[in-house]
Amino acid sequence: MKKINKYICLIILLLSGAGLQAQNDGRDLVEVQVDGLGCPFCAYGLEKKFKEFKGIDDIAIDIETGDFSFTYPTEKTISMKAVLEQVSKAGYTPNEAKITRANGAVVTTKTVEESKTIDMEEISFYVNGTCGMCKSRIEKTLLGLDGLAIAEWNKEKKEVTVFHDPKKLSVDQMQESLLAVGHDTGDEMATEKAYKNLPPCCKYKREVK
Amino acid sequence: MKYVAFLMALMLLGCKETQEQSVAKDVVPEWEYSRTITVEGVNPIGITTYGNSFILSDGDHNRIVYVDTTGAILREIDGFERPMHIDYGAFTDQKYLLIPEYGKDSVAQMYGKQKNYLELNDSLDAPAAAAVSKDHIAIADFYNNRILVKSKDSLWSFGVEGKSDGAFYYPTDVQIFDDQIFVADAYNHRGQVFDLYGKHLATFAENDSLNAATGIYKSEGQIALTDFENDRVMIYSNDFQKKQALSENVHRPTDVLIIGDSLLYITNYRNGELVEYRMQE
Repeated sequence: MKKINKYICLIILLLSGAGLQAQNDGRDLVEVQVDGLGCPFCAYGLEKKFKEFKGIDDIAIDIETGDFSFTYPTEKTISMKAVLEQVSKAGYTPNEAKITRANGAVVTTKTVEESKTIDMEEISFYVNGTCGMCKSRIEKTLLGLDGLAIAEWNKEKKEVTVFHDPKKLSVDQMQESLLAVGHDTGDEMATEKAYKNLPPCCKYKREVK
Repeated sequence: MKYVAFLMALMLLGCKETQEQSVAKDVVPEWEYSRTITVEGVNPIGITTYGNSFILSDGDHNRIVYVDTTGAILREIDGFERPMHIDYGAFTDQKYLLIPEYGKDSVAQMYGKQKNYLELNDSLDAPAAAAVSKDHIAIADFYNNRILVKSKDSLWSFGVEGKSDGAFYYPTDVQIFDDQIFVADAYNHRGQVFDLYGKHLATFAENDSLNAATGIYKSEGQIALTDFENDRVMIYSNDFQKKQALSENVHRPTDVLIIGDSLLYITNYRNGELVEYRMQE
Protein backbone atom coordinates (compact mmCIF):
# COMPACT_ATOMS: atom_id res chain seq x y z
CA MET A 1 0.00 0.00 0.00
CA LYS A 2 1.18 3.47 -0.49
CA LYS A 3 -0.16 6.79 0.68
CA ILE A 4 -1.36 9.22 -1.89
CA ASN A 5 0.63 12.37 -1.67
CA LYS A 6 0.70 13.89 -5.14
CA TYR A 7 -0.03 17.28 -6.55
CA ILE A 8 -3.11 15.90 -8.12
CA CYS A 9 -4.85 13.42 -5.94
CA LEU A 10 -8.16 11.78 -6.30
CA ILE A 11 -10.81 12.46 -3.74
CA ILE A 12 -14.11 10.80 -3.48
CA LEU A 13 -17.19 12.16 -1.90
CA LEU A 14 -19.57 9.28 -2.05
CA LEU A 15 -22.98 10.70 -1.51
CA SER A 16 -25.07 7.83 -0.26
CA GLY A 17 -28.79 7.70 0.30
CA ALA A 18 -31.93 8.05 -1.73
CA GLY A 19 -32.56 10.89 -4.12
CA LEU A 20 -28.97 11.38 -5.07
CA GLN A 21 -29.11 10.06 -8.60
CA ALA A 22 -27.11 12.09 -11.13
CA GLN A 23 -29.04 14.31 -13.48
CA ASN A 24 -27.87 12.31 -16.51
CA ASP A 25 -29.69 9.01 -16.45
CA GLY A 26 -27.12 6.28 -16.83
CA ARG A 27 -24.39 8.71 -17.76
CA ASP A 28 -21.47 10.22 -15.88
CA LEU A 29 -20.97 13.97 -16.19
CA VAL A 30 -17.33 14.99 -16.69
CA GLU A 31 -16.26 18.61 -16.22
CA VAL A 32 -12.69 19.81 -16.82
CA GLN A 33 -11.18 23.25 -16.75
CA VAL A 34 -8.57 23.31 -19.52
CA ASP A 35 -5.69 25.71 -20.03
CA GLY A 36 -4.59 26.69 -23.52
CA LEU A 37 -7.86 26.68 -25.43
CA GLY A 38 -7.20 29.82 -27.42
CA CYS A 39 -9.40 29.47 -30.47
CA PRO A 40 -12.16 27.33 -31.97
CA PHE A 41 -9.55 25.20 -33.71
CA CYS A 42 -8.18 24.21 -30.30
CA ALA A 43 -11.65 23.65 -28.87
CA TYR A 44 -12.73 21.46 -31.75
CA GLY A 45 -9.40 19.65 -31.55
CA LEU A 46 -9.99 18.81 -27.90
CA GLU A 47 -13.47 17.59 -28.77
CA LYS A 48 -12.03 15.48 -31.58
CA LYS A 49 -9.52 13.77 -29.30
CA PHE A 50 -12.23 12.96 -26.77
CA LYS A 51 -14.38 11.41 -29.47
CA GLU A 52 -11.92 8.52 -29.27
CA PHE A 53 -13.94 7.67 -26.14
CA LYS A 54 -16.79 5.81 -27.78
CA GLY A 55 -20.10 6.78 -26.27
CA ILE A 56 -19.18 10.38 -25.44
CA ASP A 57 -22.04 12.89 -25.81
CA ASP A 58 -23.32 16.30 -24.74
CA ILE A 59 -19.95 17.93 -25.38
CA ALA A 60 -19.75 21.60 -24.42
CA ILE A 61 -16.70 23.85 -24.65
CA ASP A 62 -16.31 27.50 -23.73
CA ILE A 63 -13.07 28.77 -25.26
CA GLU A 64 -13.14 31.96 -23.19
CA THR A 65 -13.20 30.15 -19.84
CA GLY A 66 -11.69 26.82 -20.87
CA ASP A 67 -14.66 24.95 -19.39
CA PHE A 68 -15.08 21.59 -21.07
CA SER A 69 -17.77 19.06 -20.22
CA PHE A 70 -19.35 15.91 -21.60
CA THR A 71 -21.32 12.88 -20.54
CA TYR A 72 -20.23 9.27 -20.77
CA PRO A 73 -21.99 5.93 -20.24
CA THR A 74 -21.63 5.09 -16.57
CA GLU A 75 -21.13 1.38 -17.26
CA LYS A 76 -17.85 2.27 -18.96
CA THR A 77 -16.61 3.92 -15.75
CA ILE A 78 -14.39 6.61 -17.16
CA SER A 79 -11.51 7.30 -14.80
CA MET A 80 -10.14 10.66 -13.77
CA LYS A 81 -6.72 9.50 -14.91
CA ALA A 82 -8.03 8.76 -18.40
CA VAL A 83 -9.71 12.17 -18.62
CA LEU A 84 -6.61 14.08 -17.57
CA GLU A 85 -4.37 12.04 -19.85
CA GLN A 86 -6.62 12.66 -22.83
CA VAL A 87 -6.57 16.42 -22.26
CA SER A 88 -2.77 16.29 -22.18
CA LYS A 89 -2.70 14.07 -25.26
CA ALA A 90 -4.70 16.70 -27.13
CA GLY A 91 -1.97 19.22 -26.29
CA TYR A 92 -3.60 21.11 -23.45
CA THR A 93 -3.19 21.40 -19.70
CA PRO A 94 -5.96 20.10 -17.46
CA ASN A 95 -6.70 22.09 -14.33
CA GLU A 96 -9.40 21.05 -11.93
CA ALA A 97 -11.74 18.31 -13.01
CA LYS A 98 -14.84 16.66 -11.64
CA ILE A 99 -16.68 13.47 -12.52
CA THR A 100 -20.24 13.14 -11.28
CA ARG A 101 -21.23 9.50 -11.52
CA ALA A 102 -24.76 8.53 -12.44
CA ASN A 103 -25.25 7.25 -8.88
CA GLY A 104 -24.35 10.65 -7.45
CA ALA A 105 -20.74 9.87 -6.51
CA VAL A 106 -18.35 12.72 -7.22
CA VAL A 107 -14.65 12.41 -8.05
CA THR A 108 -12.58 15.59 -8.14
CA THR A 109 -8.96 16.71 -8.45
CA LYS A 110 -7.60 18.90 -5.71
CA THR A 111 -4.29 20.44 -4.69
CA VAL A 112 -1.91 18.88 -2.19
CA GLU A 113 -3.01 21.27 0.51
CA GLU A 114 -6.60 20.21 0.16
CA SER A 115 -5.70 16.55 -0.18
CA LYS A 116 -3.95 16.50 3.18
CA THR A 117 -7.33 16.36 4.84
CA ILE A 118 -8.06 13.08 3.10
CA ASP A 119 -6.22 9.90 3.95
CA MET A 120 -6.64 7.84 0.79
CA GLU A 121 -4.62 4.77 -0.08
CA GLU A 122 -3.81 3.09 -3.35
CA ILE A 123 -3.81 -0.69 -3.55
CA SER A 124 -3.83 -3.31 -6.29
CA PHE A 125 -5.05 -6.89 -6.00
CA TYR A 126 -5.84 -9.85 -8.21
CA VAL A 127 -9.29 -10.23 -9.72
CA ASN A 128 -10.01 -12.84 -12.35
CA GLY A 129 -11.95 -11.95 -15.48
CA THR A 130 -11.64 -12.14 -19.23
CA CYS A 131 -13.34 -9.41 -21.21
CA GLY A 132 -14.61 -5.86 -21.45
CA MET A 133 -17.85 -6.80 -19.74
CA CYS A 134 -15.84 -8.24 -16.86
CA LYS A 135 -13.94 -4.97 -16.61
CA SER A 136 -17.14 -3.00 -16.54
CA ARG A 137 -18.68 -5.27 -13.90
CA ILE A 138 -15.60 -5.28 -11.66
CA GLU A 139 -15.15 -1.50 -11.75
CA LYS A 140 -18.85 -0.77 -11.41
CA THR A 141 -19.17 -3.11 -8.43
CA LEU A 142 -16.29 -1.42 -6.64
CA LEU A 143 -17.38 2.10 -7.49
CA GLY A 144 -20.73 1.34 -5.93
CA LEU A 145 -19.04 0.94 -2.52
CA ASP A 146 -18.82 3.76 -0.04
CA GLY A 147 -15.21 4.96 0.46
CA LEU A 148 -13.70 4.29 -2.95
CA ALA A 149 -12.47 6.94 -5.36
CA ILE A 150 -11.40 5.09 -8.43
CA ALA A 151 -11.13 1.54 -9.67
CA GLU A 152 -9.35 0.37 -12.80
CA TRP A 153 -9.09 -3.28 -13.79
CA ASN A 154 -6.25 -4.39 -16.03
CA LYS A 155 -7.32 -7.27 -18.24
CA GLU A 156 -3.79 -8.47 -19.01
CA LYS A 157 -2.56 -8.42 -15.41
CA LYS A 158 -5.96 -9.46 -14.04
CA GLU A 159 -5.41 -6.85 -11.39
CA VAL A 160 -7.55 -4.02 -10.11
CA THR A 161 -6.06 -0.79 -8.75
CA VAL A 162 -8.18 1.24 -6.37
CA PHE A 163 -7.95 4.45 -4.38
CA HIS A 164 -9.89 3.96 -1.20
CA ASP A 165 -10.40 5.34 2.28
CA PRO A 166 -9.30 2.42 4.51
CA LYS A 167 -11.30 3.84 7.42
CA LYS A 168 -14.46 3.37 5.42
CA LEU A 169 -13.68 0.43 3.17
CA SER A 170 -11.35 -2.54 3.65
CA VAL A 171 -9.79 -4.75 0.98
CA ASP A 172 -11.77 -7.70 2.36
CA GLN A 173 -15.01 -5.81 1.81
CA MET A 174 -14.04 -5.03 -1.77
CA GLN A 175 -13.10 -8.66 -2.43
CA GLU A 176 -16.37 -9.91 -0.94
CA SER A 177 -18.32 -7.67 -3.30
CA LEU A 178 -16.43 -9.03 -6.28
CA LEU A 179 -16.88 -12.64 -5.20
CA ALA A 180 -20.61 -12.01 -4.94
CA VAL A 181 -20.79 -11.02 -8.60
CA GLY A 182 -18.77 -14.04 -9.71
CA HIS A 183 -15.14 -12.88 -9.85
CA ASP A 184 -12.42 -14.81 -8.05
CA THR A 185 -9.97 -12.73 -6.04
CA GLY A 186 -6.60 -14.13 -4.98
CA ASP A 187 -7.12 -17.14 -2.76
CA GLU A 188 -10.85 -16.64 -2.55
CA MET A 189 -13.16 -18.09 -5.15
CA ALA A 190 -16.68 -17.04 -6.02
CA THR A 191 -19.43 -19.56 -5.43
CA GLU A 192 -20.33 -21.83 -8.33
CA LYS A 193 -23.72 -20.17 -8.46
CA ALA A 194 -22.19 -16.70 -8.80
CA TYR A 195 -19.74 -17.92 -11.43
CA LYS A 196 -22.51 -19.61 -13.43
CA ASN A 197 -24.51 -16.40 -13.37
CA LEU A 198 -21.84 -14.70 -15.45
CA PRO A 199 -22.71 -14.24 -19.13
CA PRO A 200 -21.03 -16.73 -21.50
CA CYS A 201 -18.38 -14.27 -22.68
CA CYS A 202 -17.36 -13.61 -19.06
CA LYS A 203 -16.66 -17.27 -18.18
CA TYR A 204 -12.96 -16.83 -17.39
CA LYS A 205 -10.60 -19.73 -16.75
CA ARG A 206 -10.57 -20.25 -13.00
CA GLU A 207 -7.28 -20.43 -11.14
CA VAL A 208 -6.31 -19.86 -7.52
CA LYS A 209 -3.60 -17.30 -6.95
CA MET B 1 11.99 95.13 -59.66
CA LYS B 2 8.34 94.21 -59.95
CA TYR B 3 9.28 91.86 -62.75
CA VAL B 4 11.84 90.04 -60.56
CA ALA B 5 9.34 89.72 -57.69
CA PHE B 6 6.75 88.27 -60.06
CA LEU B 7 9.25 85.71 -61.31
CA MET B 8 10.18 84.70 -57.74
CA ALA B 9 6.51 84.33 -56.82
CA LEU B 10 5.99 82.11 -59.85
CA MET B 11 9.00 79.96 -58.85
CA LEU B 12 7.70 79.58 -55.28
CA LEU B 13 4.26 78.61 -56.51
CA GLY B 14 5.83 76.14 -58.86
CA CYS B 15 7.84 74.58 -56.05
CA LYS B 16 4.75 74.32 -53.82
CA GLU B 17 2.77 72.69 -56.57
CA THR B 18 5.56 70.18 -57.15
CA GLN B 19 5.68 69.35 -53.42
CA GLU B 20 1.90 68.84 -53.29
CA GLN B 21 2.02 66.61 -56.33
CA SER B 22 4.79 64.61 -54.68
CA VAL B 23 2.82 64.21 -51.45
CA ALA B 24 -0.25 63.13 -53.37
CA LYS B 25 1.80 60.59 -55.24
CA ASP B 26 3.21 59.11 -51.98
CA VAL B 27 -0.16 58.65 -50.26
CA VAL B 28 -1.04 54.98 -50.37
CA PRO B 29 -4.75 54.33 -49.99
CA GLU B 30 -5.63 52.37 -46.90
CA TRP B 31 -8.53 50.30 -45.68
CA GLU B 32 -11.02 52.11 -43.54
CA TYR B 33 -13.81 50.69 -41.41
CA SER B 34 -17.17 50.83 -43.18
CA ARG B 35 -19.79 48.86 -41.22
CA THR B 36 -20.51 45.79 -39.14
CA ILE B 37 -23.02 43.23 -40.38
CA THR B 38 -24.58 41.15 -37.63
CA VAL B 39 -25.35 37.55 -38.51
CA GLU B 40 -27.65 36.36 -35.76
CA GLY B 41 -26.82 33.05 -34.15
CA VAL B 42 -23.78 32.31 -36.31
CA ASN B 43 -20.22 31.84 -35.09
CA PRO B 44 -18.40 32.12 -38.41
CA ILE B 45 -15.12 30.34 -39.04
CA GLY B 46 -14.76 30.65 -42.82
CA ILE B 47 -16.12 32.89 -45.54
CA THR B 48 -16.41 32.80 -49.30
CA THR B 49 -18.59 34.51 -51.88
CA TYR B 50 -21.47 33.13 -53.89
CA GLY B 51 -22.80 35.61 -56.42
CA ASN B 52 -23.86 38.64 -54.45
CA SER B 53 -24.07 36.75 -51.18
CA PHE B 54 -21.65 35.22 -48.69
CA ILE B 55 -21.30 31.65 -47.56
CA LEU B 56 -20.19 31.20 -43.96
CA SER B 57 -19.17 28.06 -42.12
CA ASP B 58 -20.71 28.03 -38.66
CA GLY B 59 -18.40 25.68 -36.80
CA ASP B 60 -20.17 25.84 -33.46
CA HIS B 61 -23.48 24.87 -35.02
CA ASN B 62 -22.20 22.37 -37.59
CA ARG B 63 -23.74 24.11 -40.57
CA ILE B 64 -23.17 26.28 -43.63
CA VAL B 65 -25.20 29.45 -44.03
CA TYR B 66 -25.76 31.68 -47.02
CA VAL B 67 -26.25 35.32 -46.01
CA ASP B 68 -26.93 38.49 -47.95
CA THR B 69 -25.09 41.78 -47.51
CA THR B 70 -27.41 42.79 -44.67
CA GLY B 71 -26.65 39.64 -42.70
CA ALA B 72 -30.02 37.98 -43.35
CA ILE B 73 -29.73 34.20 -43.60
CA LEU B 74 -30.93 33.08 -47.02
CA ARG B 75 -30.30 29.38 -46.66
CA GLU B 76 -28.69 26.97 -44.26
CA ILE B 77 -27.39 23.45 -44.64
CA ASP B 78 -26.90 21.29 -41.55
CA GLY B 79 -25.09 18.05 -41.03
CA PHE B 80 -21.43 19.01 -41.15
CA GLU B 81 -18.98 18.08 -38.39
CA ARG B 82 -17.21 21.30 -37.48
CA PRO B 83 -17.00 22.94 -40.91
CA MET B 84 -13.98 25.21 -41.19
CA HIS B 85 -12.41 27.43 -43.89
CA ILE B 86 -14.51 26.91 -47.00
CA ASP B 87 -14.03 27.88 -50.63
CA TYR B 88 -16.23 28.08 -53.67
CA GLY B 89 -14.87 27.84 -57.19
CA ALA B 90 -14.28 25.79 -60.28
CA PHE B 91 -12.07 22.72 -60.29
CA THR B 92 -11.66 20.94 -63.61
CA ASP B 93 -14.56 22.93 -65.10
CA GLN B 94 -17.01 22.08 -62.35
CA LYS B 95 -17.95 24.58 -59.64
CA TYR B 96 -17.88 23.25 -56.08
CA LEU B 97 -18.30 24.48 -52.58
CA LEU B 98 -15.58 22.77 -50.59
CA ILE B 99 -16.26 22.26 -46.89
CA PRO B 100 -13.51 20.75 -44.75
CA GLU B 101 -15.06 18.89 -41.84
CA TYR B 102 -12.61 19.11 -38.99
CA GLY B 103 -14.46 16.58 -36.85
CA LYS B 104 -14.91 14.07 -39.65
CA ASP B 105 -11.43 14.10 -41.19
CA SER B 106 -12.87 14.67 -44.64
CA VAL B 107 -13.71 17.39 -47.14
CA ALA B 108 -17.29 17.67 -48.33
CA GLN B 109 -17.95 19.00 -51.80
CA MET B 110 -21.28 20.44 -52.76
CA TYR B 111 -22.47 20.82 -56.29
CA GLY B 112 -25.88 22.43 -56.19
CA LYS B 113 -27.71 20.50 -53.49
CA GLN B 114 -25.67 17.37 -54.01
CA LYS B 115 -23.19 16.56 -51.32
CA ASN B 116 -20.42 14.03 -51.47
CA TYR B 117 -16.90 13.72 -50.17
CA LEU B 118 -13.62 14.41 -51.86
CA GLU B 119 -11.86 11.18 -52.67
CA LEU B 120 -8.35 11.23 -51.28
CA ASN B 121 -6.06 8.24 -51.09
CA ASP B 122 -4.70 9.62 -47.88
CA SER B 123 -5.98 10.21 -44.37
CA LEU B 124 -6.56 13.64 -42.91
CA ASP B 125 -6.45 14.58 -39.26
CA ALA B 126 -8.69 17.62 -38.77
CA PRO B 127 -8.76 19.43 -42.12
CA ALA B 128 -8.97 23.12 -41.27
CA ALA B 129 -9.23 24.64 -44.74
CA ALA B 130 -9.79 23.79 -48.37
CA ALA B 131 -9.05 26.01 -51.35
CA VAL B 132 -9.89 25.51 -54.98
CA SER B 133 -8.39 26.80 -58.22
CA LYS B 134 -8.91 25.79 -61.81
CA ASP B 135 -6.61 22.78 -61.69
CA HIS B 136 -5.89 22.21 -58.01
CA ILE B 137 -7.40 21.78 -54.60
CA ALA B 138 -5.31 22.49 -51.50
CA ILE B 139 -6.16 21.28 -47.99
CA ALA B 140 -4.68 22.41 -44.68
CA ASP B 141 -4.25 19.20 -42.69
CA PHE B 142 -4.17 20.66 -39.18
CA TYR B 143 -2.89 17.89 -36.91
CA ASN B 144 -0.63 16.39 -39.57
CA ASN B 145 1.05 19.78 -40.07
CA ARG B 146 1.01 19.58 -43.84
CA ILE B 147 -0.71 20.82 -46.98
CA LEU B 148 -2.28 18.33 -49.37
CA VAL B 149 -2.59 19.26 -53.02
CA LYS B 150 -4.86 17.44 -55.40
CA SER B 151 -4.84 17.78 -59.15
CA LYS B 152 -7.13 15.97 -61.53
CA ASP B 153 -4.85 12.94 -61.64
CA SER B 154 -2.64 13.01 -58.59
CA LEU B 155 -2.24 13.91 -54.96
CA TRP B 156 0.81 15.11 -53.07
CA SER B 157 1.62 16.85 -49.81
CA PHE B 158 4.31 18.94 -48.19
CA GLY B 159 5.23 20.19 -44.74
CA VAL B 160 6.25 18.79 -41.38
CA GLU B 161 5.78 19.96 -37.83
CA GLY B 162 8.32 22.61 -36.91
CA LYS B 163 9.30 26.21 -36.90
CA SER B 164 11.73 26.45 -39.81
CA ASP B 165 10.77 27.74 -43.24
CA GLY B 166 8.54 25.20 -44.91
CA ALA B 167 7.46 23.61 -41.63
CA PHE B 168 4.15 24.24 -39.89
CA TYR B 169 2.74 24.38 -36.41
CA TYR B 170 -0.94 23.79 -37.06
CA PRO B 171 -1.85 25.26 -40.47
CA THR B 172 -5.40 26.61 -40.33
CA ASP B 173 -6.03 28.25 -43.70
CA VAL B 174 -4.83 27.94 -47.25
CA GLN B 175 -5.42 29.69 -50.56
CA ILE B 176 -4.24 29.13 -54.11
CA PHE B 177 -3.44 32.24 -56.12
CA ASP B 178 -1.58 32.28 -59.44
CA ASP B 179 -0.13 28.81 -58.87
CA GLN B 180 1.15 29.80 -55.47
CA ILE B 181 -0.13 28.43 -52.18
CA PHE B 182 -0.60 30.82 -49.28
CA VAL B 183 -0.77 29.26 -45.82
CA ALA B 184 -1.85 30.67 -42.45
CA ASP B 185 0.66 28.92 -40.19
CA ALA B 186 -1.43 29.50 -37.07
CA TYR B 187 0.76 28.72 -34.11
CA ASN B 188 4.00 29.75 -35.75
CA HIS B 189 2.12 33.06 -35.94
CA ARG B 190 3.05 33.76 -39.55
CA GLY B 191 2.17 33.30 -43.19
CA GLN B 192 4.07 31.20 -45.72
CA VAL B 193 4.05 30.96 -49.51
CA PHE B 194 4.89 27.92 -51.64
CA ASP B 195 4.74 26.86 -55.21
CA LEU B 196 2.24 24.14 -56.04
CA TYR B 197 4.74 21.40 -55.28
CA GLY B 198 5.78 22.70 -51.89
CA LYS B 199 8.88 24.66 -52.74
CA HIS B 200 9.13 27.34 -50.07
CA LEU B 201 9.00 30.84 -51.53
CA ALA B 202 8.49 33.18 -48.61
CA THR B 203 7.72 33.55 -44.93
CA PHE B 204 6.18 36.73 -43.61
CA ALA B 205 4.62 38.35 -40.53
CA GLU B 206 7.10 36.55 -38.28
CA ASN B 207 8.15 39.74 -36.55
CA ASP B 208 4.76 41.32 -36.17
CA SER B 209 3.83 39.70 -32.85
CA LEU B 210 0.81 37.84 -34.14
CA ASN B 211 -0.92 35.40 -31.83
CA ALA B 212 -2.58 32.67 -33.89
CA ALA B 213 -2.67 33.46 -37.61
CA THR B 214 -5.95 31.73 -38.30
CA GLY B 215 -7.03 33.02 -41.71
CA ILE B 216 -5.36 34.21 -44.89
CA TYR B 217 -6.46 35.81 -48.16
CA LYS B 218 -4.38 36.79 -51.18
CA SER B 219 -5.86 39.30 -53.59
CA GLU B 220 -4.30 40.83 -56.68
CA GLY B 221 -2.65 43.64 -54.73
CA GLN B 222 -2.17 42.42 -51.18
CA ILE B 223 -2.25 39.69 -48.57
CA ALA B 224 -4.43 39.73 -45.45
CA LEU B 225 -3.69 37.62 -42.37
CA THR B 226 -5.92 37.39 -39.30
CA ASP B 227 -4.40 37.78 -35.85
CA PHE B 228 -6.99 35.99 -33.72
CA GLU B 229 -5.92 36.71 -30.16
CA ASN B 230 -4.89 40.30 -30.85
CA ASP B 231 -8.20 41.18 -32.51
CA ARG B 232 -6.77 42.50 -35.75
CA VAL B 233 -6.14 41.73 -39.40
CA MET B 234 -2.73 42.48 -40.85
CA ILE B 235 -2.32 43.70 -44.42
CA TYR B 236 0.87 43.01 -46.38
CA SER B 237 2.03 44.15 -49.78
CA ASN B 238 2.87 41.64 -52.47
CA ASP B 239 6.49 41.89 -51.40
CA PHE B 240 5.45 41.01 -47.83
CA GLN B 241 5.93 44.45 -46.31
CA LYS B 242 3.49 45.29 -43.54
CA LYS B 243 1.08 47.95 -44.75
CA GLN B 244 -1.70 48.21 -42.21
CA ALA B 245 -3.25 46.64 -39.14
CA LEU B 246 -7.05 46.64 -39.08
CA SER B 247 -8.44 46.53 -35.56
CA GLU B 248 -11.52 48.75 -35.48
CA ASN B 249 -14.48 46.53 -34.55
CA VAL B 250 -12.44 43.37 -35.07
CA HIS B 251 -13.03 40.73 -32.37
CA ARG B 252 -11.57 37.24 -32.58
CA PRO B 253 -11.20 37.19 -36.38
CA THR B 254 -11.10 33.76 -37.96
CA ASP B 255 -11.12 34.56 -41.69
CA VAL B 256 -10.82 37.40 -44.16
CA LEU B 257 -11.96 37.99 -47.72
CA ILE B 258 -11.00 40.70 -50.21
CA ILE B 259 -13.20 41.58 -53.17
CA GLY B 260 -11.57 43.47 -56.01
CA ASP B 261 -9.09 45.17 -53.71
CA SER B 262 -11.86 47.58 -52.78
CA LEU B 263 -13.90 45.67 -50.18
CA LEU B 264 -12.64 43.56 -47.33
CA TYR B 265 -14.69 41.38 -44.99
CA ILE B 266 -13.62 39.93 -41.67
CA THR B 267 -15.47 37.19 -39.78
CA ASN B 268 -15.76 37.96 -36.06
CA TYR B 269 -16.08 34.50 -34.58
CA ARG B 270 -17.22 35.40 -31.11
CA ASN B 271 -19.76 38.08 -31.94
CA GLY B 272 -21.30 36.56 -35.06
CA GLU B 273 -20.37 39.49 -37.25
CA LEU B 274 -18.99 40.38 -40.63
CA VAL B 275 -16.91 43.53 -40.54
CA GLU B 276 -16.68 45.47 -43.77
CA TYR B 277 -13.74 47.68 -44.65
CA ARG B 278 -13.50 49.80 -47.78
CA MET B 279 -10.43 50.97 -49.61
CA GLN B 280 -10.08 54.73 -49.44
CA GLU B 281 -10.83 56.57 -52.65
